[in-house]
Amino acid sequence: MVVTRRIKPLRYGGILIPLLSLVIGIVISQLILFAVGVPPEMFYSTLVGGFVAPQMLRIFIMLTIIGAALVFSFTGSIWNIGAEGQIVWGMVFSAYIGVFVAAHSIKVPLNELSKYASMPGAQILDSTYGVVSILTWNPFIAGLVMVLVAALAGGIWASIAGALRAYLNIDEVASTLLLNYIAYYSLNQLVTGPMRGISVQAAQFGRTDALNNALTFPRLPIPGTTVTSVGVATAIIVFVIVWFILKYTSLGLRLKILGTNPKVLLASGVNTKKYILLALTISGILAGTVGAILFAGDYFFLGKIDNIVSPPTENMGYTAILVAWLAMLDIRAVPISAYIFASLMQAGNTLQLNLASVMGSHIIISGAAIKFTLIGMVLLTFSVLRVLTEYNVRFIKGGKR
Amino acid sequence: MISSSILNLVLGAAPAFTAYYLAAVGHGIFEKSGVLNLAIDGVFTLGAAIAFSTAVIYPNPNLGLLASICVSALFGVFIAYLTTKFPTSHGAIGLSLMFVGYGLASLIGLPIRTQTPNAAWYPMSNTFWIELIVTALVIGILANYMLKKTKLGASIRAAGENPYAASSLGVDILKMRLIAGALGYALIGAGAALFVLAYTQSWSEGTGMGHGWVAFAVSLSAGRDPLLTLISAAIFGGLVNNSYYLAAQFYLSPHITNMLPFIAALVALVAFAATPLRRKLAPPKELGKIYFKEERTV
Repeated sequence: MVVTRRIKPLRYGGILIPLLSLVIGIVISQLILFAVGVPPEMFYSTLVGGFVAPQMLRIFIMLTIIGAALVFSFTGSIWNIGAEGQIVWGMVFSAYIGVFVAAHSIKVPLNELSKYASMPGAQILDSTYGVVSILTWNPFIAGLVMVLVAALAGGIWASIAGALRAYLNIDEVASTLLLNYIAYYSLNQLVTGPMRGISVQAAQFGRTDALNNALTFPRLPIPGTTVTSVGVATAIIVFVIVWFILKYTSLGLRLKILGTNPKVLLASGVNTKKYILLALTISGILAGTVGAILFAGDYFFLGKIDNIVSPPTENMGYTAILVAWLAMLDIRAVPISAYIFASLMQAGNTLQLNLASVMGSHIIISGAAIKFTLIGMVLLTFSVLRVLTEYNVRFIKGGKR
Repeated sequence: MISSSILNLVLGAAPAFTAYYLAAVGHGIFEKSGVLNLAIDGVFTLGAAIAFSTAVIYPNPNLGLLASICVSALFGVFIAYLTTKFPTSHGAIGLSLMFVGYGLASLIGLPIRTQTPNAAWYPMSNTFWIELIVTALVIGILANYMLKKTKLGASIRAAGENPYAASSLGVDILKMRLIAGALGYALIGAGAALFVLAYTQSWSEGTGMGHGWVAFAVSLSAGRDPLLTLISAAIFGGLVNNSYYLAAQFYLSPHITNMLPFIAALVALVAFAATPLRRKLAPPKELGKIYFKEERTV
């Protein structure tokens, strides 16, 4: 076997390689899942179903946002693997605004509870214990602030890893991953401590009070999906921002050079530290917005993470790494890549439900296991096949290196 | 009286210490050969799941340990082969295998866990803990001797510092990295097995997840040196084992206790990078760089 450098890049390599690795990765995952008892016909039929399921749109929107955020930092060869943690902090801060600032819960005597039933802006959260959520802000402004605060929180969290990389040269892969775990447990600490709600369920299970109905993001009138208008708007804005910065600004150009040849940047007198920090911070800001979308669009309250394998981020921070990589770090391909992985994730969720109903409880396969196997296998195939775009691999009899 | 309680404190930390120490030494050996090892956490999680599952099916903790060592060593060889034989990105290969490890760990462990949550754990006795510490010390000294005093160790380090020069002097880079991968990951697998069978003594989905990164930090903050890693592993093992005691002392919640190793790992990385240690214990020069030799005419 002989590996040589290609003179010209592989023709259609930008499309061929991602597609091929997708197919091979899926087939290998299917074989692995078959070995633990998932029937192949069920696997493939669910997979096809994922591509047309309306609920896939919800994941598609969020993966587009995080994928664009990651493409931004990956362009500068800054590997932000910490989108998970950035989203978690986005959730925490948007929940703080939503549950404690823009509306807050009060405890009222049970005999006065009926007065609140028809009061505008008030919502009875818990009728047995007398907890009412009182709206104090305009919902539109509150929604805006929730997204912005989530962005800010994500940015600050990412800037920790950014500063460590820029000034101390600590590998950002390790630090962002460690920060993910710190974020998960911080969420647990906050929702069981200072952010714990006063309604019965909240006090019992260690979670925040529910978000006031008036503050939840309005859903689009598409049946079968919970995708919100705020989510769609944020996705479009984030996509345009990343596309614009990378294409038309000096920041984008410098990031590209940082990714390919940082020495050129240093030699021309550019402060590369600043750009490393900026790449991670902006990436975190963009990814953080997903926290608000998840919280005010889907969950409406923040609960404790019992199993760190399946946090409320639904592992999207990790899946988005794939979205960015399979788009070959080209922002224009991110929506396509996001669509494919949103469908796969949706299929994974459906598969888990189908398995439980068909196979009973004796074989337990978690949704996270399916997702991780799929992410890992597609990424592995892709990392190996990507060699073919720049190198030529030939099998020659007796060709030994 | 006081001396016996201190002895208990030290001995009680033996399982956590040994788990982190072995994994960290393995990580150090592998990275000395120039392969950036980002798959450590996935294989650590997988190793823990395999050790647990084996110890459920064949009620013998040693078999669990052996199974974890074998599977992990295979992963090490696989990573070394892919990153050396082909000009692939070490980071991408490592990260993808990390996810594969997470996925496989759940797939293997969960069905077994739902049937029997109890495996054949290692005993929680002073004699076993002393055995653990002695074994860890012996392995550490052997690894140190191997890396610094033998021809094999010199070749492994050469493969990490300058594979091109080493190759022209007759060192088979692929072979060295394969050996380093097998040895390193065998130790990581052993660490993972001890983590679950001797330290946590319970397995649920996600056990071990993140602790591979802690081992990563333990190794990095000691400059990948097997003997210096003794110190950092002892600090981490002690911290993790006594975190519940600390929590009770300072009224910390279990969530903070769970967070502590990760914060400590980050602090260790910073402490290493911000002090002169970083220059004294510099990483291998070609760590994580693609090894590619242009074709030569024969």
